[in-house]
Amino acid sequence: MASETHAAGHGILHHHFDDLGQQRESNTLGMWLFLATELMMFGGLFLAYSIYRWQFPGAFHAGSQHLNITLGTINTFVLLASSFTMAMAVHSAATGNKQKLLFYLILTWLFGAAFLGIKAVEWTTDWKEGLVPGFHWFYYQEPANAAKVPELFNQWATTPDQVLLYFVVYFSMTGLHAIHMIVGLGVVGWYILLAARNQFVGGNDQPVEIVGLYWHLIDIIWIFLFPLLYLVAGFHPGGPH
Amino acid sequence: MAKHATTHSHQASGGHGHHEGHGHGHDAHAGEHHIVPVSTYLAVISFLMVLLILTLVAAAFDLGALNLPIAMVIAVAKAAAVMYFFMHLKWSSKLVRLFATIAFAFLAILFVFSLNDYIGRGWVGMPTPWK
Amino acid sequence: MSKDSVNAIAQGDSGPLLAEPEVPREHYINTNYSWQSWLFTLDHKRIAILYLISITLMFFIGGLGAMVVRLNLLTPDGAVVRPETYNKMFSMHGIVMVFFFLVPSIPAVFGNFLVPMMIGARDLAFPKLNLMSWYLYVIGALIGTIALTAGGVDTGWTFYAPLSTKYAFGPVAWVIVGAFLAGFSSILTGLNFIVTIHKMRAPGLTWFRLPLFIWSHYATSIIMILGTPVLAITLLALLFERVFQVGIFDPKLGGDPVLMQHMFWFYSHPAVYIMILPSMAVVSEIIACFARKPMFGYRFVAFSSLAIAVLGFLVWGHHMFTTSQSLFSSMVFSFISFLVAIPSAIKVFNWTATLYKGSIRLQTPMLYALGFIGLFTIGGLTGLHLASMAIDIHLQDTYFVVAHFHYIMVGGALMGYLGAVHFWWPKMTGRMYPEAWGKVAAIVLFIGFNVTFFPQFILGYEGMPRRYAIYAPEYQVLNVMSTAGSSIMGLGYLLPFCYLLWSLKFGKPAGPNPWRATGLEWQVDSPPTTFNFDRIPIVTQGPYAYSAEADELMDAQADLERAQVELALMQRQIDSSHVDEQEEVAGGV
Repeated sequence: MASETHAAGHGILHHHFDDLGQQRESNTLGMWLFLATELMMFGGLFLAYSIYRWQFPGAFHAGSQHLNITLGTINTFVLLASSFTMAMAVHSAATGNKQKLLFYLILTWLFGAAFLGIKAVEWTTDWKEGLVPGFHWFYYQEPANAAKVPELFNQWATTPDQVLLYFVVYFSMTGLHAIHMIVGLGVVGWYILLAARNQFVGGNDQPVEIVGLYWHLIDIIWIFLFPLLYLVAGFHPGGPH
Repeated sequence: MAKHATTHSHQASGGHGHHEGHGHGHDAHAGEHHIVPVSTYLAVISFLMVLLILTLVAAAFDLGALNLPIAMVIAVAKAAAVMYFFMHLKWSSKLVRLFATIAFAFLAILFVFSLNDYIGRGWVGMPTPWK
Repeated sequence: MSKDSVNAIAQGDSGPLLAEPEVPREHYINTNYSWQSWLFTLDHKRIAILYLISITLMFFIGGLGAMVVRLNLLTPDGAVVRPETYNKMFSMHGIVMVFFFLVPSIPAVFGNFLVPMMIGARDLAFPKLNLMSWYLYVIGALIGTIALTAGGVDTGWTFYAPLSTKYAFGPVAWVIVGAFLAGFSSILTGLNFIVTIHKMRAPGLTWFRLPLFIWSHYATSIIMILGTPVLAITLLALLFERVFQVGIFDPKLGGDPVLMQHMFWFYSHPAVYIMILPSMAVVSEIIACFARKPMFGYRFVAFSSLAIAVLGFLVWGHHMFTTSQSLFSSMVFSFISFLVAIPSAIKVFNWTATLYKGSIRLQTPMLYALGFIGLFTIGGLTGLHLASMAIDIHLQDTYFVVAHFHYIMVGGALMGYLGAVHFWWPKMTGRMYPEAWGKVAAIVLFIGFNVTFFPQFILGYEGMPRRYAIYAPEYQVLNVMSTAGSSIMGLGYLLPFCYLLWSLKFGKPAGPNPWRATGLEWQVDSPPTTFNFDRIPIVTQGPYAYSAEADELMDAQADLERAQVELALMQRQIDSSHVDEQEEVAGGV
């Protein structure tokens, strides 16, 4: 221990800590506290979701049918896989295996980028269809969709304005989530560079573990977003609408 | 001069000087640095994929008011697996586990007390004026 | 050889009377005077001083808003400023005082300075995060204040939608951004404190040996971590709605303005506990020290801090009794609001019990602490009035509410802050403030405060609404009285500002422990060195080891040291007269 803190140590052990164990546990606690704040922040949006869904269940059923469940499922798969690769990256750092660390970090990054790419496809489709509140909302005004409005009322007891609320909630939640993904990609990308430069060897694996915690939280939030946003009206093989 | 809480002290470690690394009895790998076997991770990711399929299967059946609770139970199971294994809560101290779960308790407060407002409208009538 | 100067020397002051010139001792201030060493510091004490300067500036800006408000309320027709300007002034006052002064005040200044020292640590757990906290605060406060003064918003500090998102004039979005950033500053501070208190206590410092200051700051940090993010998302949603006119809370689209209130008050009620708990922390320290007694019911006070933090999250709906919240829900919130008064009352009882049969010294910090207890009690009791739904129907949005929260925020939190400033001034700066002026200012503030705000209880009870630029003529007398009181109060703020600055250069140098207080921070020199402790202390007993016997022992020691100094001086006089004699003799040969 002494030699570890001494030799590799001046880079690892910060001066205000007594020893590496204290530093490790402090960093872990610190990151979990930060994750708690993220949970509370998303929680506010989940609250808006809950209340609006409780008030306007029809709008949520109808609105969710505009979403592409196939793409949503693929994205869920992608994020779960990225959590696995991130866990493997942490494992590689802990065992001091630089090649594997780089491999898994890059895979994680690619999965994350794929997620964002698919989201971009989804959002572009929504934009084209006129389902983006405030910016490009005209789906129910299109002559081609004229029949949808009475259908909304008859089948779901809702109106286009309420469906707009659903989409506000949808874009707020997935948008905030995407922002967190972008930040995550930035950090993981930076860590790939650092890992290539041998930054995480010699016992300095904790930064990877800490970033891993953040990444897993992003995954967990999506785990809830997927059923809540996409599967409200159930899953009907054969595509959306 | 003032009576104080210390009686004696020991040499500060670390700090701005270099020290001889006398042992503190702290093991830097105590507890928090358990290395998880890859097989565990593989089992977990398989479990998560099964749950993903289960999510879709459950969504294919309309069980009315049970749809949402079932979906949430499955989501919670996924989240629990990620937190317990990928995020190492299984091998973490009680304190870390407390910090990891405290937000859920306060989110519950946020949801319950807010929904209480909406759901409770009409439960208690307005008081009638005194004659 | 005056008794004072002998005392001064005996207490370790480097006065001019002992003629050896001293090499100035290096401490956290003089170790480096460059601006870079300050703006890029990682030393928690320097960051505390940076905060001290910034929030003092914010305080006076917020005070200006109050001044305009009170001037305008001198006459029923509010002829001093236009109503739109009046609205901007009370909004500015509230936003600056809440987000940029009160929420950071004690935690950011005294928490940052003292938490590591009180637990025997060299710094907080995350010094870089601490610095980032300050930068976030400064940027947020700058953006917010500039927007509030160059333009201004009329939404009040509560930003209710759809006023804030649709109908309000002015740079609402920028003000929201400012508050958002300041909120993240708060989150990071809380995060730092919690990890530090858990992991970096000195050997032997168990939880129940911690000073109550630490317990209260721990409880405050819990609230910061769990509450502030909900404010963050609420502000983001408001920002989104304001900038892009996308309805989340817009009733025209089925959105719910009351949802915004739920989300807003989920943070903002616990926020008021963020503002009061640290003040209670300070009061605990001061009461024990100036009554020379251990805190009565230490564990009760410690747990009551945690209870306030938790219960504080369960009462936010009492701000919404009159805005269409369901009656059932309101009943629940009302009941729990009564419960949350209990831990606060427990603290007041324990402070009072500590004072009982104590050896009370009425120095300036104690005056502020005693003022706190009285005024906070009034504020807290009037909170119970408002927690009763039937009464709240009549008092909501009147001056009764304004008086209630000013009794807590000013009579409570601010008094605690000023008490902290005076109590720890010698530790932070190495200088004593002039005690006589300190007492005068405390008394002036106390009087001015009550003359300002007590009439407002009556005004509110009689029906005067808040946030109105004009009022019915029958309210004028009390309003004039209130404004007169505010000018006295202003004097009570200006005085410390002046004499504290004066003391930096001309104040009596302070020794390590001018108050004979317990606590690890008093065991090191004033001001402390950069890393606080040369040797990390080992703690073997509880805090507040005050007693009459200990004081007698210290008196005896002080007498002994005084006698030794006198002896040394007399010896020197004898020696020097011998030298003179010898020179005379030599010269005479």
